[in-house]
Amino acid sequence: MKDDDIIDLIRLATLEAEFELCDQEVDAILARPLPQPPTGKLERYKLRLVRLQQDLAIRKALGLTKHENRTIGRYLEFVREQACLSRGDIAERLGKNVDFVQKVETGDWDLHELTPQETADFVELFQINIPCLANLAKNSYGANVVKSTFRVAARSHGGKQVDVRAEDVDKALDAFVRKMHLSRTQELPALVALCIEKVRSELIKRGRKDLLE
Amino acid sequence: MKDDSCERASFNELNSAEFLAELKANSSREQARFVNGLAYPLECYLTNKMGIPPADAEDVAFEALERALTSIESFHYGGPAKLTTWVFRVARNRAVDYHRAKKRERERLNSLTCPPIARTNPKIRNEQLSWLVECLNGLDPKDIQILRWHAEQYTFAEIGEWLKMTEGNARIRHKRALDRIRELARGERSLENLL
Repeated sequence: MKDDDIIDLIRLATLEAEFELCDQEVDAILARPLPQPPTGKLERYKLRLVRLQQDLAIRKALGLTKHENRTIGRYLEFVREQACLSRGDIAERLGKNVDFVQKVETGDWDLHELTPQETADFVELFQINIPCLANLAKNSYGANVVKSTFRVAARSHGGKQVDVRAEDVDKALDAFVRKMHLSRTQELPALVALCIEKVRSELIKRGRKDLLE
Repeated sequence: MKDDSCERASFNELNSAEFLAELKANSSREQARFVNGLAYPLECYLTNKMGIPPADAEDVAFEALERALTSIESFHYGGPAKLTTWVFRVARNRAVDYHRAKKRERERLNSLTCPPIARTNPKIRNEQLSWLVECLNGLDPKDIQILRWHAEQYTFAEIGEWLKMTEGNARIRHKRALDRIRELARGERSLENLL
């Protein structure tokens, strides 16, 4: 075998071995002139940067948020607000409209009303693992049972518009319902368990095993 | 990407203590500078040096940047490496993971689709590679650096400068290291094809 073949094999071996780069090597890489980036590359970078910053903000917000007693919608809303993201940002990431995100957050649409793909999109974006999702889904299901079809309405007051105030009152109702529900059964309803199982399969299909435990 | 001297100046800024402090404070402006400054050099490095296909290099580069930003708290200024070096190390590790995952996938596909005789070839190559990695680990660290850097197409002049030796010295150490590998390979039955 010629020297070049051995060198080629060394190159392949170094791709799989744990070698540490040193400052001089990286400085040399950075000092070399780079080819002109292809058209559209920088635009794509901008978009990716926005998404990267959103993901970092969500990750940071998750560290500040406890999920134990929240419904899934209110939990997502709380994390989103902590991450300083709008419903529009989330809708764009999920490829849906703002109305969809609002309905999920306010609990108008519960987990079993979403497709496993839609739920998996939320789970991936908000980095929720399956045990946490099961807990949130159980809370949502229980809260919806207690809440039934009752909805709140509120007049504008103190400079707040009707829709803003109605949302605040709705949040208060959810918090009340959550407390009512806590004293009830803590078992995972069959319908919710089935949904969770479907979401789990979807995550496995997407290769997100990190979210299963 | 436009003016080379500006680029170099900006890389030095990325390695400053002030920039790191801003980055650790989650400043969006500094995060943007960090990503804009390093994304394209990382992508080129992953494609040219780490053998990542161009279609996947952008994804791997951004995964590395995300990983670096997520664990930026664990990076300490004035430690064993500069911030840029640390990010390149993260990218390199991502690239190694990428190759390992692809290798596992290839092996799985081979076991499903190839007849038994065809399956033996990649195995021999894998054995050669594993042996070579072990063999490299037994060499002098400087010789490993020289072999690796030369395989990655750095010149002996550059290697000599980094390791503080002459170009000729680097060249001779490279030749002797290759001879040593060949000598070690002679004793290995599974590596008859290598010689």
